[in-house]
Amino acid sequence: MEIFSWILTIATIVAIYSIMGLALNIQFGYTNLPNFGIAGFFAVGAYASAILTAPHRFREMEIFAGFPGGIPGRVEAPFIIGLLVAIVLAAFVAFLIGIPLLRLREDYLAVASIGIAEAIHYIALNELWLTTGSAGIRLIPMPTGNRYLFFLLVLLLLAIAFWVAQRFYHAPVGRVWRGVREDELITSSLGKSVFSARMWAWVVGCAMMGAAGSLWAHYAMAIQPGEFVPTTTFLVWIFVIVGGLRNNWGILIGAVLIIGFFEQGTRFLPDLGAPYIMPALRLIIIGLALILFIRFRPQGAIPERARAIEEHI
Amino acid sequence: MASIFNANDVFLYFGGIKALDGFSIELEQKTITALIGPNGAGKTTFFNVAGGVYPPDKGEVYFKSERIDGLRPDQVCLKGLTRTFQIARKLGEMTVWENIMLAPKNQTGEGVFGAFKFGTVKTQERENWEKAKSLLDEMGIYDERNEYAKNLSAGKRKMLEISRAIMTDPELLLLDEPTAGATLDETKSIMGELERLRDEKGLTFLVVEHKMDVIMNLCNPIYVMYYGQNLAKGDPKEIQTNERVLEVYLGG
Repeated sequence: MEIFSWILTIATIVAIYSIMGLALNIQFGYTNLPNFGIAGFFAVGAYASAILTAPHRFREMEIFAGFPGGIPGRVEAPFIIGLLVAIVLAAFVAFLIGIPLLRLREDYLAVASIGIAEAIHYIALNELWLTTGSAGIRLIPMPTGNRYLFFLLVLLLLAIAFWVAQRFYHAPVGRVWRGVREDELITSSLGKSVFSARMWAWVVGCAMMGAAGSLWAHYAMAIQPGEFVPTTTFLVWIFVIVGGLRNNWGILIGAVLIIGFFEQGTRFLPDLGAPYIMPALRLIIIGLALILFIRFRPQGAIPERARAIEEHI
Repeated sequence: MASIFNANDVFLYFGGIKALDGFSIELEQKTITALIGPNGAGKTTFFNVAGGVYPPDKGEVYFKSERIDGLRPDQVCLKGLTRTFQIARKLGEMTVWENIMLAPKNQTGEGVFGAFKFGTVKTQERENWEKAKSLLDEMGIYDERNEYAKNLSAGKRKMLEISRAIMTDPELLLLDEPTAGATLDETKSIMGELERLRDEKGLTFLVVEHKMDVIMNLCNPIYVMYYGQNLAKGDPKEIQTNERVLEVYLGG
């Protein structure tokens, strides 16, 4: 039974990461917006959901002895409120940040988005009244009370995210986004506002990252700022590139391969002599996989596939 | 005849270079006007000003008696003025049909929420494709409809670009060298298509072109541009015999 339990753990983590992968595909694969701040929006969602749902008794814990009146705003809302607020807040933060950020060219956008995510990380680390700092937030309720049911819930949300991402790809809105990716000047000369297309793709993707963050908080039941670092962002990028940027099926494959087998699966292999070898080896192998894919199969395991018009109409 | 577009005394500087130096032009409705001039005369720059890529430093541009200088390219297009590019720019990693279907205005499915109005989107897609189908057929690229645009020959890319511009349902089309890179047959079908659109749909065209036979057979009047200024204007006969034009083109 123990093996079943860790397969369940890995599957849940893979599903949550897949949602972030689909979101990155909307932003970078469809619209050419290299978002290197995934961890930031993941954190916004996770913290929003955690702060809204974690119980009152949390404020009596020893680390808050010095805060008169405890921590404000512990509302013990139900999970669904946490999830919705996580989505809306991530979208709102993305919108505000997007106003200056989306005027930048791709490479500068990538650099600036890392900076934004780090800023969010430091807010989580330092705004003790809101986030309790490096102690993190604990006792976040798992809504179903049961890991099996929670996995099904995550799977359901992944299915919705997948369906939405596919719909966007094939609908006229995805055509405009891909038009912006291919050539901004043509697309705007055809009467499409490039800025508004970029903004929508950005906001929708970040909202999905926020949803993933909420699921993560309720699954792990405890979060702390150290989880929302650039490494999280890079892992998403790596499996999206390996699996197949621009193809949502490829992203699912990539998540299973990279997050499932390498990042999580190898935790259960025997130590190779010393306990620190395996974690290091894991990152080396993931890095190697990335280099090999970029060199020999840049389109990823499953590349973009265009629909014939007969299929579309 | 009514004028649909005019630019008065337009100036545009790039640093110390006067790319447009008081250029003026007026287009009558339902005409195909040519804009010619030696390389570097400022023809493409003028297209960029008219299309909203650069705001002019001085001067006004009117379209349907509305001022359009300073608007963005997408706003200009929505008003009914579509332009094409000299080097056929393409949405390479999109199919020909996706290129074409990007162009129609006011598609419900272009909104993030509108994309989920399944019935409306499907109906609009079918209507737009019906229009696109006959256009692609006339332009001779129907068989390539499911091909990636990057795989088309130079001539067919031009056909795609012109079809795409027509699909925006414009009243005025600015075409930057529509027949460059096209074969003789393709050139003929482009010319035929422009005349048909002018006569049947009442479209107006401004065409930058270097092929003299195309200009002399298709366009009237002809504007000649030189160093960002107006050099001459007239019908093909007048231009062919205009001494200043001959001097500029043949170096006197």
